[in-house]
Amino acid sequence: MRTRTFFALSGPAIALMAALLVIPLIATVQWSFQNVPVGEAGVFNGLDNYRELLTSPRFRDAAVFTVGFALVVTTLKVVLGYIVALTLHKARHGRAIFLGILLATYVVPTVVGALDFSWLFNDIFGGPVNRFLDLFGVQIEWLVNEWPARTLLAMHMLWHEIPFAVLIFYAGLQGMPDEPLEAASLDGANWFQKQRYVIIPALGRLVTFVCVISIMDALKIFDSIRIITPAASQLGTESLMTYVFQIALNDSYRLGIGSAVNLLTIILTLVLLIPFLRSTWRDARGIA
Amino acid sequence: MTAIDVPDGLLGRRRARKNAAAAAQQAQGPAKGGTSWLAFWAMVVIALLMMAPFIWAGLTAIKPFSDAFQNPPVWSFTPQFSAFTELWKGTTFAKVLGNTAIVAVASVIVSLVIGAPAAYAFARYAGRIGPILLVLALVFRALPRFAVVLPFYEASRALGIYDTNVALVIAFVAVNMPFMLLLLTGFFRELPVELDESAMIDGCTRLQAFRKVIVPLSGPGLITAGMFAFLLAFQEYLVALTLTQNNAVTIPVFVAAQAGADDITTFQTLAALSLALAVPIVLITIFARKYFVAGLAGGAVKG
Repeated sequence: MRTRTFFALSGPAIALMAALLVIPLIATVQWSFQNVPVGEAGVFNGLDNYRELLTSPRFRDAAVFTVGFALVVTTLKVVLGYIVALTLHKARHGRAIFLGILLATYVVPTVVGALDFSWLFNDIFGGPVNRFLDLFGVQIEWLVNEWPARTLLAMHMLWHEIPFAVLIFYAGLQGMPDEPLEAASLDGANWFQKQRYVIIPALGRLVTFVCVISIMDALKIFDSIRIITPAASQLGTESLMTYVFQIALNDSYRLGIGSAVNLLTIILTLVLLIPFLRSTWRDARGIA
Repeated sequence: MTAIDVPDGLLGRRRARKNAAAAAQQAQGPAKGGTSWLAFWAMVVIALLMMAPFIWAGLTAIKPFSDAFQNPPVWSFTPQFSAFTELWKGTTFAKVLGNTAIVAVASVIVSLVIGAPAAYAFARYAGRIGPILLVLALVFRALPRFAVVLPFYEASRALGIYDTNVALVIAFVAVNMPFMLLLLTGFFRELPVELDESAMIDGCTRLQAFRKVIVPLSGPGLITAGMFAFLLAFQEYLVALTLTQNNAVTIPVFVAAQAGADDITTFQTLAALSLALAVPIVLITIFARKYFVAGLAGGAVKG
């Protein structure tokens, strides 16, 4: 293909991404050093936005909550996703249909899923989960204190996103050759040893992949918090993104400081991804 | 990187593997059969648990008003469907649904018209574009949406397109473009180069070869990419919340606003709404599983 044809075909898409993704991103970086009231040009104010954020307890709480949430949810997602994928892989019938049903929770709009999920815990509707816990004498007010509220959010995110991990791990299990497992059996390995020394190392790259996607997504958590705990800032469930929304578009209209939160979030994301990027890098070099 | 390696296990060879796996399972005798039944019933339980929120919302939607808000819950009742009529006639749902559908269809068309030729050019021209696209798609997936959307908000106000479908379509097309390019480039690359070469020897121009030979052969790829672009309009809350107010509201914004009102009388219509959305989606994911799996695993960097 000639270069001219190449640019004729790909030009519109490249121009679109430059105009609508790259330029906004540059604007975000620029705004983070400005005081930007809506509808007016920003005024350069140096590091004021960052200074304000880094000394603000509200920002710190949101950052700590978001990072902790991302790490806990990602760990649980990998473990539970692996268990479900193993079960699915072993199941005698209907694997395709099970996979379809699982994926539905991933595809349903998060807002709708979060609403339906939270209703299971809502006493106004008879809260079936609460009635179930009653059987064991456990009573939990989900939306009054921070830890139950956080637990509820984590459970929702697991419900929503485990299917993705299952899909990826299941694909990995389906693609695994039988020989190493047979060799392990011949050597007298038990079930646990086979998992530990054969299957998990073979799925290593997929685990990395699921972790990377999961950390990215969890750091951006927004939709479910808006639905499940609308009063997030009082309840201790405010995430970085709900904080941006409040400060830049809802409570106040400070686009500059919102942009600074966005940049700090990007930096946090990179820091959390470093171990995974390093292992990918080593993988790539090992192969080359 | 890792993402690109995923699809092999799922596409094409999948059925063959499945048959092989089934044969292997049978060969391994009765003890194996026992665990596989156990795994089957475990999956039934897991699937039911995963569906529980939708089942519960469905029950809430069809209970009479007095039964829906009982605690402990009422399990025997006369089903009634007034929540669905109320949803359709008593709220702006019909308008919102129509609007979401328009935005969805428009963003599918625009992103395919812009994205497909570009992906084809990437697949055929530059050898090194694959990793770059992957990194680009990953980077834009990692970015907080607000990093792009706050400037959109400001620009849409300045241009006077705030709260219009046009602004939403532009935003959705842009946000989805790296993912779409990654997905489609992968699909086009699987088609042998000889196809377009022979078409061009027969006198087609490059564009004709693309239109008349490649596009007709790329049905599954285009369907997958189009389906994800379509779903984005129904799923995306943050972008739609930021760029709309009244006129161009889409379903997630509508649902969130209704839920936020925390008014007991709207809960049943909301339940009806979530059922009306969840049932088609569950059915589509079961029947169009192939396309979902290809998109989720192959592109794997949707966001």
